[in-house]
Amino acid sequence: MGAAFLARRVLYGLISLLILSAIIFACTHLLPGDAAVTILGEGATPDALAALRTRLGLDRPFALQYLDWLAGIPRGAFGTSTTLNQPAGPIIAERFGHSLALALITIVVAGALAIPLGVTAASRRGSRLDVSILTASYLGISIPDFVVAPILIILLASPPLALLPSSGYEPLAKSFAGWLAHIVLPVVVLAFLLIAHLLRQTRSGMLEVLSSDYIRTARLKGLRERVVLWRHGVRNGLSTTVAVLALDIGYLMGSIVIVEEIFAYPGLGRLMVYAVANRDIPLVQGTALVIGAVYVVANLLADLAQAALNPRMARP
Amino acid sequence: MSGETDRSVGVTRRRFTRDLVTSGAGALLLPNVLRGTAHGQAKLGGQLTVALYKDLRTLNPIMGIFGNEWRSTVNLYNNLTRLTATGGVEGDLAESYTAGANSATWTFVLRDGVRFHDGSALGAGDVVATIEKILDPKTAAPYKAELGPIASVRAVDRRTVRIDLASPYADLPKALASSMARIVSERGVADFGKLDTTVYGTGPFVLKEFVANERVVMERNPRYFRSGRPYLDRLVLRVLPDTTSQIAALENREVDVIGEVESDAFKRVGGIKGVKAVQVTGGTFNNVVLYADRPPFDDPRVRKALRLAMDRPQMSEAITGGVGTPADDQPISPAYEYFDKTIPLRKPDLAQARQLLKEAGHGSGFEHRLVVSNSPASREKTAVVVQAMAEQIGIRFNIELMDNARYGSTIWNKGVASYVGNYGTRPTEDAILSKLYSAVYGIDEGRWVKTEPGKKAEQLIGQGRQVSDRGERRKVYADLQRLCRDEGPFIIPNFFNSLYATQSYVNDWPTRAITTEMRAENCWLSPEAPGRKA
Repeated sequence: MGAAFLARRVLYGLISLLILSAIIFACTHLLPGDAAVTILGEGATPDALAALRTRLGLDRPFALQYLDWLAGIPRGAFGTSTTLNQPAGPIIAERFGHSLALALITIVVAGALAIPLGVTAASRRGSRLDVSILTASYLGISIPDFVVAPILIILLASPPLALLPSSGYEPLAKSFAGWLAHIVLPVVVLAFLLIAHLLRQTRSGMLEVLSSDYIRTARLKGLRERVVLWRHGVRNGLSTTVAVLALDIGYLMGSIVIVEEIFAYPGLGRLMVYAVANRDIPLVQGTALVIGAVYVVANLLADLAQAALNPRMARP
Repeated sequence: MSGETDRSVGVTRRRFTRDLVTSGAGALLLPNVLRGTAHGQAKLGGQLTVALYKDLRTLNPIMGIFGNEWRSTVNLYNNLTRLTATGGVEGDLAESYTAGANSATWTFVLRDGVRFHDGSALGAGDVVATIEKILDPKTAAPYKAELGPIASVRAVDRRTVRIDLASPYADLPKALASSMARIVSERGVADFGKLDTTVYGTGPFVLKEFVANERVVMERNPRYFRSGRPYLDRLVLRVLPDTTSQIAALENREVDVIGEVESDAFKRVGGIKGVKAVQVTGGTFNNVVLYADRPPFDDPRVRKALRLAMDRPQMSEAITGGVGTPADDQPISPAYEYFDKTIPLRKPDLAQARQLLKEAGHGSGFEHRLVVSNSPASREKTAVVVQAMAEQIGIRFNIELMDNARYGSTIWNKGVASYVGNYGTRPTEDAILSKLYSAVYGIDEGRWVKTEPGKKAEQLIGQGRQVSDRGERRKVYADLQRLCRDEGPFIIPNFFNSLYATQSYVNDWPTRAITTEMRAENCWLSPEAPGRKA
C-alpha cells in the first residue's frame, strides 16, 4: 500500500466532505418550517417573531451564510445553536464523544462475537451448529431495537433483578463503574442487532472464499483444516466484513436514535433528532457534517484495512 | 410548537373536591394544601430526583416556552408575586403591593435583606431592569403580551417599584406571578446572552450543573430569604424521554418523582408499590379551529351542527384515556377561578345537527381539510375523534398529518386550513381568552372578531381586564364562557389533567391544580428515602 494510494483516498474523502457540506447547507435551508415559530412557540406575538428572525440572521443572503459557516468548520465552530443559545461546536463535540464510545464498544463486542461465529458457521455449513447460528441471527435481525430495549429494561433494570440503571449517562471522569453500568444496556441492544448482521456477512464471505481454488490447493497440500481456515480463509473472507464494520460505525453514530432515546443516552443521534424537530439549523448542519465525516473516515479506514488484507486492492 | 407552558393557577378547596370526585384512575391523593403541611416533622437534607419528559432547552426564564423550563426556573428564581394554593395571589419578592385608582398604577414594596445567588442585594433596580427587558421588542419575549398593558416601570426608592399601565389591568399581580416574570438581577439582565446556562436569581436552590435537554442539578441556597427553606440538599431534574425508562427508574428508586406522567402509563404507575399517582384538573386543551370568516364554517348553523355531533364525555375518555375533563368548546377549565360551573355540558343531538346542516345548504354533508401537527401526539387523537363524531352528520374531515415545524410556519394561524391547536393553561382567564378571541390583545385565532358575537366577545374581554370587583369579573367571564361555547370558532372537546407520580417517602410535593411549576422549597424526604451520592 503506497503513499499515493493513501493520498488519493484522503483527497477523495475531503472532496466528498466539501460536496456534502454544500448539500447539507442547501438542504437545511430548504427544510420547511420557521425557526422563529419553533423557538418561540404558538404563544409568541408577531413582533416577537419578527424580532427573532432578524436576530437569527435568517434574512441574510444564502451564499454569505454558507461561506461564513464553511470558514468556521476548521476551527470546530458550527455557529450558535438557535434554540439552546450556546455554541454548537462544543455541544456536538461532547455528544460525538459519547456516541463514538458507544459505537466503538459495540463494534468491538459485536466483532468479537460475530466473526468467530460466522467463521464457525461457514466452516460447518449445513451442520446443526450452522443452522442454529443462522436461526439465532434471523431472530436478531427480525426483532427491532425498540422491542429489545424495553424487554432488557424490564428484565435487567427493573425489580426484582434491577442489576443495571434503566437509563441515563454518567461521565467516565466521575466514575468508571457508573459509566460502564450505564453503557451496558445500550451496547447490548446495539450489539444484538449488529451481531446478526456481521455474522451473516462473515459467513457468506467465508463460504465464497472456502470454495475458491487456492483453499482447495491448500487443503490438497495437506495443511491442517484450522490453518487453512484461519490463516488462509479468514484473511480473504473478512475483507467484506471489514467494509461492513466500518460502515456500521457511521450507522451507529447517527442512526441509533431509538436506543439513545429509550436509554436517555446523550449521543449524536438524539441531538440530531432534537435539532431537526426544533429547526435548530446550526445543530442540524453540524451534526449532519460530523456524521458524514465519520462515514468518510470509516470508509477510508475500511479501504486501508482491505488493502492491508488484500494488497491487490491498493493497486491503481 | 406546543403552547404548553405556564399553568400557574392555584386551586380552591372546592376545586380539589371536584378533582377527587371526577378522577377515575390511579390512587388519587388529597393534595398537600388540604392535608396540612407537617413542617414540624419535616426533615432536612437528601436529594430529590425528578424525571421529566420533554425538552429543557434553556434556563432563561424570559425566553422559556416549555413546562420543563418553568419547572427549573421556579426553583432558581423568585417573582414579585406568586400564586397561592387556594387560587389567590400573594407577594413573593414583594412584601406588599397596592393598586392606585382604577388599577392603572401599581406600587410594589420589596422585602428587605433578599440576596441573589452571587451575594448582591435585591433592589428596585433589578425589578425595573427585568420588566424593561421583557417589554423590549428586541428581546422577543414570547409571552410579553401576557404581562399586561405596562406603560412604564420605575424605581421610586431602593425597595419600591411603581408600574404605570396604559389602561387599567386588574390581573397585574397574577400576571407578574407568571413563569416568564422571574426577577433577574441587573447584572443578569446585562449578561442576557448567558441566561440560558447561568442563573442570576434569588431562588431556593442554586445551580450546580445544567446540560440542555439532559439535566439540571441544583443545591440548597444557604442565603434563601425564607428561613428554614428549602429542606432538600439537592434537587435534580432529569430528562427521560421514554416512558418505559421513566417507570423503570421510578420502580428502582433512581427517581423519586415523575413530573408529567403520560396518560397511557398513568394506571400502570399507580399500581407500583410505594408510589403515589396523582391527577388534578388541568387547563391544557386542543382546539379544532373553524374559521368563522369563510365557508363552510362562516355559517353559525354549520358550527353549531358540528358542536351538536360531539359526545364530550366519550371524546374526553378516548383522547385522554380517562384522565381528562370534558370541555364545551370554550377554553376556561374548572381549574380557573372564574370557571362557570352553572353552564351545563352540551349533550349531542344528531337530529338537530343534521337539520341545521340541511338548513345551511349542506344536506348531504361536505368534505373539509383538517391539518394536524405530529406533536404533541394528543393533537392527532383529537383530530381522529372529532373526525369520527363529525362523520355521523356527514361532515367528512380529511386529516393531514404534518411535521410540527412545518405546521408552525405554514398552517398555524395562517388562515389557510382548519387545524388542531394546542394551548397550555395560562396564569389568568384573560391571558387565554385574549390570546384566542381578541384582535386587540391577541391573535383572534378563529377570525371571529368581525362577527356580531365576536365583537361582543372582544368588548367583554376588554371589560374583564379593567374590572377589579370579583363579583363583576365573575359575571363578565361567565358571559364570555357562554358566548364562546355557543358561538365561538373552536371545537374544544376536553381539558387534560395534570398527572404526577411520587414515591411515598416524598412529602409536600407541590401537586397543585394545573400548575406544572414544581416549586420544591417545601418538599422533604422521609427517612426511608434512598441516600444518594452527589
